[in-house]
Amino acid sequence: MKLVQADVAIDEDCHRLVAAAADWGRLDILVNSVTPALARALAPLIRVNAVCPGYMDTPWWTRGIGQGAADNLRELVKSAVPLRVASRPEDIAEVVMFLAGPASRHMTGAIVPADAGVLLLVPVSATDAHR
Amino acid sequence: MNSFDGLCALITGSASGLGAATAVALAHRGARVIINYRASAGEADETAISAARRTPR
Repeated sequence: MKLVQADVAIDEDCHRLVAAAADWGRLDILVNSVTPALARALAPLIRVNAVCPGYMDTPWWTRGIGQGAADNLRELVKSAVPLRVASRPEDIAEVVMFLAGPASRHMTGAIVPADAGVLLLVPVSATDAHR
Repeated sequence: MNSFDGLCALITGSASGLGAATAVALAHRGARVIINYRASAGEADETAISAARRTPR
């Protein structure tokens, strides 16, 4: 019974949040709002955590901007991010495995950057929206 | 390391990229994985083949 009530509340909240995020083109608002909202509503049955990747080295870039530009972008990212790497999907999947698995059983509502440190390049006031 | 034995995972957008990598990683750790895609049927098939391949890591 309690779970059913929670479901309704989540649904209404999410509708509002999705609409707001779409209006402003701010996906971080969605992540930062829905993650704790779902985590609160679904605890202790279900844990809810989010991963925030940075640059992703995938063919999506090549398709969008061409091979040469994609190669240039990869090198630019590698020279700019604190960890000096171009993250690939497998690298981020490791973080998802941790958050989905028993090793993170004491975590819920966490928003985890897995971005090779790119957020560290952003002024602190701008990252407030991210945590 | 099969910490996902007996569990089932639905991965949205798992034809390529982050979704595909997540689906494959979960499958290789013992999960049953549902691969979801919007338009990329061919890539989704490739994800399924990779997921089914027994490559312990």
